Amino acid sequence: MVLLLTSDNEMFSVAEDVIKRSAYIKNMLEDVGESDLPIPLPNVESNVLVKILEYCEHYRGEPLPASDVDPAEIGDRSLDIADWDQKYMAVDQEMLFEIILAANYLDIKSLLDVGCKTVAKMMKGKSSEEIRTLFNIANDFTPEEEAQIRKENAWAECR
Amino acid sequence: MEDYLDYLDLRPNPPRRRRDLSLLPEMPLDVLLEIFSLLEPKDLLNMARSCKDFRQALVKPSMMHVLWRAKRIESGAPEPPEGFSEAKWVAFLFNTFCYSCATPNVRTDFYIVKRLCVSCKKQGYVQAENFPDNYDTAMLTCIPWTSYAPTSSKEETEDFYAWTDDIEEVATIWATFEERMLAGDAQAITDRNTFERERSAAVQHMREVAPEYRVWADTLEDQKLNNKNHVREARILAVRQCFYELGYDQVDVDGVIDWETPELKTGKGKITDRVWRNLRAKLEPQVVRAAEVRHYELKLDLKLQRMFDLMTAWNIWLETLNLPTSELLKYPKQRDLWYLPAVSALLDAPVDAAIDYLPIVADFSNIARNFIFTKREELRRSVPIANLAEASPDALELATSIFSAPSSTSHLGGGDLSYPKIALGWKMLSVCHLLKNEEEAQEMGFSVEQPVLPIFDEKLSAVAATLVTDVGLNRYTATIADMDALDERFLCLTCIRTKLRYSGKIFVGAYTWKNAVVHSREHHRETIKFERITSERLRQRVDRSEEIDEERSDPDRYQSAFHCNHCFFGPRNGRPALKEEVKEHIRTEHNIEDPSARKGDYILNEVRRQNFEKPSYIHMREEEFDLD
Repeated sequence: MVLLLTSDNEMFSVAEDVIKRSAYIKNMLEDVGESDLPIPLPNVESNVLVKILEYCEHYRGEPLPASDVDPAEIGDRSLDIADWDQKYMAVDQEMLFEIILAANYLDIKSLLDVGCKTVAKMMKGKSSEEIRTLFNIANDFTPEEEAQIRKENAWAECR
Repeated sequence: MEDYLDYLDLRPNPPRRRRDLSLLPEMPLDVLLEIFSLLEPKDLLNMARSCKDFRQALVKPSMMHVLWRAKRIESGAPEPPEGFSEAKWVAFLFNTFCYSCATPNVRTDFYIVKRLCVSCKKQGYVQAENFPDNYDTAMLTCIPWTSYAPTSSKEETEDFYAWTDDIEEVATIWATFEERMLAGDAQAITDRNTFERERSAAVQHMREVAPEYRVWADTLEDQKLNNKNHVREARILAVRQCFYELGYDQVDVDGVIDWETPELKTGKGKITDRVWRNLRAKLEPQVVRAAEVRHYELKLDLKLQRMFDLMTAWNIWLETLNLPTSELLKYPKQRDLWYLPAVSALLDAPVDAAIDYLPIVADFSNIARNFIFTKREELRRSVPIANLAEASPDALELATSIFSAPSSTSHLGGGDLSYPKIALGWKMLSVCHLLKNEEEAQEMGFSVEQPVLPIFDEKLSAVAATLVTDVGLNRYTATIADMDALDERFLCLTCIRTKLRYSGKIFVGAYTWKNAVVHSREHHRETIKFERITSERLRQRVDRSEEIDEERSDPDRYQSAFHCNHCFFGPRNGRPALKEEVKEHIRTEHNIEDPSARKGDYILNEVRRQNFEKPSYIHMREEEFDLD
C-alpha cells in the first residue's frame, strides 16, 4: 500500500497497482523504494484525490499508456471520449479544472487527455459570446479594441 | 509578437474566488497547448475574441510556432505572406466577418487582402478610372487593386477597384515624402523610391499569389461543405437506424427521415441518447403517421380493386334488367353500394382472404330494393312529427318537407349544379345521390366520397309553412303538387325594405314558392318575410317579364336536364343533356322518328326541375308597396 498526504492533510492508503497509473508516483516509488512515509501531494486536495483515485481504480489492471506524446506534435485528434469517461467527467467546472491540474501534476496522461478533450468539446463550435457564457466571463474588450481586432488581420495594417 | 497586443489594455483582471474554467489561461502551458491543439482554428479565434485573458494566453510568443503554425499546416493553408505573423495569417484565413463592419459570412478578396461586405465595398471602393486627380499616379502601383466588383465577390470584371483607406494610407505616406522634399531633405527622394519599390513589390506579390490562395480557400470551403454533408448524412442514417430498431418499416422511416428533414439539418453525426430522445419526440409521430397513411392507402387500393370487380358484375346485372333511365336513376350508385354493410364487410376482408362475390351478386335485386326502400323510410322518419297531422299525406310530399344538403356536401343533385340547393318530394329525393368526403380519408390526405342523405331543414320548412298559409292552404295537408298548381309569385319584403333605403324605384324578384324557399336559404337564413302578389296589375307585369326571359320561357334550349329513357348513357355518357340533344340521340340511336316525353322516350331529371323556375325581376316604385 502507498500512503498519500493531500494538501488538506488527509491521509490516503492506496494499492500500489492503482496509483501507479500516476507516472509521478510511479517514478517516486521507483526512486525512493518502499517506505512507510506518506507521499505529500501539496497541489491536490482530498476531494480531488478521491475523484482521481476513482479513475485509477476503474482502469486498474489495464495497461499503462505508452510514453508521453510530444506536445509539439499537434495533429487533428479526435474529440471522442469513452462512455465511462464522459460520465466520470460530468462534474462542475471547478472539479473539472482541479482534475486537469491534478492529472497534470500527478502525470496521469490518459486522465489529462480526457480532461483536455472534455474542455475542448465544451468550446468547440462556440462563438465568442457562447464561450463567455459557458465560462461565465465578461467581455472586457472595449468597442474600439474589438474594431481593432477585426482589422488587425488585414494586410495594410501589417506593413 | 508583443506589438500585436500593444493596443490592448492587458492589465490582469482582479483575482477570482472560484477556480472554474474562466481560469483556463492560468493553466500550465503544456495543458493549455493540449486543449488548444484539439480545437479548430475558428474555435481558437472565437476564444481569442472572448476576453483579454484568453487572448493573451493564445498569442503568447510560445504559442506562435507550436500552435498557430501547426494549425495552419494542419489545414493545408499556404505560408503567410510577408508582414503576417502565423497567428494573424490564420486569423485572416479563418475569420469570416467583414473587416470594416463585422457582417458575418463574407468572402475574402486575396488581391486586396481584405474581407469586405457588399455594403462596405459599395461605400469604400474607388474605381481605377476615378483615382483622385490630385494624387501622384506613381502611387498607383503601391495600392492593392482588385477586379472583383463591389456587387460580386465571385466574378472578376475588367475594371479595377481599391479600398479608400488603402489609397489614403499610401497618399499620407507619399505626402510625408513630398513635405520632406519641399523642406529640402535630400534623402526624401531616395526614401520615397525605396518605399515605392518595396510596396509595389509586395502588392505585385499579392497579385501573383492571390489566385493560389483563392484556390485553397475554395477547396477549404468545399471540404467544409462536404464534411457538413457527410455529417448530415451520418445523422440521417443514425436516426433511421434508431427507428428501424424500434420496429418501424424502412419505407415509412425513410419517407420521413431524409435530406430535407428540418430537425436533422444541423447537429452532429453521432446521435447521443439525449439528442435521440429529443428527435424521437419530434419525429416519431411523423413516422407513425407515414405508416398509417401507407397502410390506409394499401387498404384503399385493395377496396377499390374489389369494388371494381363488384361493379363489373353490378353493371352487367343492371343491363340484364333493361330498366328505363327514370328507374335506374334511383338505383344505388357505386359509393352507395360501397357503404352498404354487406358490401363494406366484403371490401374490408383481410388482404389474403378469398373473396366470394357470388352471394352478393345473387342478392343484387334485394340490395337495390332495400336501398331505395330504406332511403325513403329514413327521409320520412326525419320529418318532425310536429309537421304532421292525422290528415297529412305522405310526409315526403308535404310542401313543408324541405330538405337541404348537409354543409359538408358541395352540391345537391350531383354534377355541375350549384342550383337548386334544396330537395323536396320523393320524385326528386329518389334520384338525389349526395356525397361528402369521408373524414378518415380526408385526415389521411385522400379524397374518398361517402354517400349522405339530404337533411330535413327546419328553418326552410318554417318558411315554406308561411308560404302555404299565405296562399290559404293548410300547412299539414298542402302538398308540393298543391302549391305548384296554384303557381303563385311572392315578393321578398326583407330585400325590398333594404333596397328602398337607397332608392324609390327598385328592381325586385318575383319568386315561385320553391324559389322563395331557395332565396331564403341563400340570403335570409335567419329572418325573412314574403308577400304573395295579389295585385292583378303586378302579376301581369311578372308574367310579361317571365315571357320575355328566354331562359325561363324556353328553358329546354338552355337547361341540360334531360335523359334518354331508352338507355342510361344517352348523348352525354349518363349526364343530363339539352332536350334537343337527347331527342337527336333517340332519333339516331333508337330509331324513333318523333320522340316525346309523354310516350316516355326521354325524362326530365327531377333534381334539375327547379332550374326551370328561376325568379324573374320587375321594376317597382315605392308607392306600390304596402310594407306595413
